Amino acid sequence: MIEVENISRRYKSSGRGVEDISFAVRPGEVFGLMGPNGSGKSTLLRVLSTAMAPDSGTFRVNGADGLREKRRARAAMGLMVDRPTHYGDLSGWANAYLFARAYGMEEKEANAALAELFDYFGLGEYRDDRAKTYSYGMGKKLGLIEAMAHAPRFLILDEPSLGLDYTSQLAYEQKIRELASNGVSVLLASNAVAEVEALCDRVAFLHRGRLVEEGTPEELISSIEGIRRIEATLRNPVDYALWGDKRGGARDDGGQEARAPVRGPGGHRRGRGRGVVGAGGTSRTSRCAGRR
Amino acid sequence: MLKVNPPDAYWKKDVALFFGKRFALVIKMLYPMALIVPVAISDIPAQYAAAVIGIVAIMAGTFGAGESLTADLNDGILMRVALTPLSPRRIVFEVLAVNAILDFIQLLPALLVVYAFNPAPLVWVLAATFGVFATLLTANCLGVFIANFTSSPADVLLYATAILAPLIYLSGFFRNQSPTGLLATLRDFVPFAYMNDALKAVFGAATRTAPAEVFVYPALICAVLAAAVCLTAPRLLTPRF
Repeated sequence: MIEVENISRRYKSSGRGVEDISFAVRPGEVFGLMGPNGSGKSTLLRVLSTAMAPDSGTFRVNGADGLREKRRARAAMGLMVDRPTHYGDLSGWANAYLFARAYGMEEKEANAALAELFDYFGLGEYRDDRAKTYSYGMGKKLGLIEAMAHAPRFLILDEPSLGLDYTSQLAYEQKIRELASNGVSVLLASNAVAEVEALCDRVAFLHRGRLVEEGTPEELISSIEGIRRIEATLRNPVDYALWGDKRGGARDDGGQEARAPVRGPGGHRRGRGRGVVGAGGTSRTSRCAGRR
Repeated sequence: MLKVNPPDAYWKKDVALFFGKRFALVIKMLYPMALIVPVAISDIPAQYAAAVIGIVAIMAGTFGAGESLTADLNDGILMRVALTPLSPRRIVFEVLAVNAILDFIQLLPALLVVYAFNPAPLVWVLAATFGVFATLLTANCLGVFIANFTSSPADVLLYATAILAPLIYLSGFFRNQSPTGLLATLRDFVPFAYMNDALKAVFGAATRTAPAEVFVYPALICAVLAAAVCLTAPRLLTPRF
């Protein structure tokens, strides 16, 4: 778990940063961080990832003081930065292996964990390709693998789903749920409302460096007037071809797919359909929300 | 056999990258030969032949670690590595040591050609070889030190020139061959000077430096320099905003 107490950090050059932030992410909890650009999300994540010292305040990662016991804190966390970079002339596997070993994994353990994650995220057949040949989305998946391979107790993810294709996004969300159910604490910074709503147990909103609101997604949404919620149950496989030319209307093809449209001030907006990866015949509930 | 790919340590990553890019590897191995071999087989005075080899070693060392460090810092990948439980000092030490050894591997074939065309007592051959390695290590220390102040590989080149020029002068590569007083004292603290003396001996010139001095003093100076740049690691590997 992570406990954050009164963290403040201001950049001298711009005056921006974060001010007096406190929260805790419990074991098994997925905690979302949201806020507009420049609200301080990245600054907070830099501090909590031990990349940058705060001006004041403290935080503990699994009992390790994030300021005085940095290496212990780092060992307990998995980190995915918003723009993961890799050694382009090394293979994707070599990059991930280097990180797994840096986190103290033994050879066999690292090989087993990486093989599973490369297959899970659909990178198995590209594992020996040089990382510089990876697309942006593949690079993000490699970043996720590097963050998760050493089985950290606390995960920091900065815009993890940005650039992922739909199937990979579902796979990633399923993996996050699986980790959380195994007691991993997850701190997720994202501006994708649907992702945060689908994954997070609690959400905090940052505005101009301050934590202005905190609660469950339901509490936060219900606190805003004029919100309409549409819930849709969907099944896999999702047939992209059927989705392509239909806009703005609900649809149900015998349990194969469904779409939830949300009417907004600017007219119809397509909602997001969701399915379950690799679980034929199962279904799950998705919630879409928008301002009426 | 030593397995470097996939790398299980930071230094092995550098080795894997060094040997992984074949075209770059050929260029890296050929350019010291192209610069040093014509000098080795020519009749130019010993002091200038030694100076050319010395300059090649200094340049290769300084830009090796400095450039690769700043490139990785710019890229963000080194910051990501620094957020693993690895000790920052260990990362910097590995960068330093592996770059010095890889630079040495680049220069070794050319040095062997020098020794083949200029037979010299074995003790001077060994002293010159160690002197070149000490120079590479010192130059890599400078590169790492400079990377503390800039994240631009081009700036490394600029700052390195400003630092290296007086050191090269002190070492007596081209001028200041027989310094006295303060210059002589300062010269004793520059490892490049010991390499220069050893190479001059290999090329048949007389030198006041004993072979043992070429082993002892540069080793001590390099140890101090390496420890000093490793102490800069936490600053070097901290994001700059």
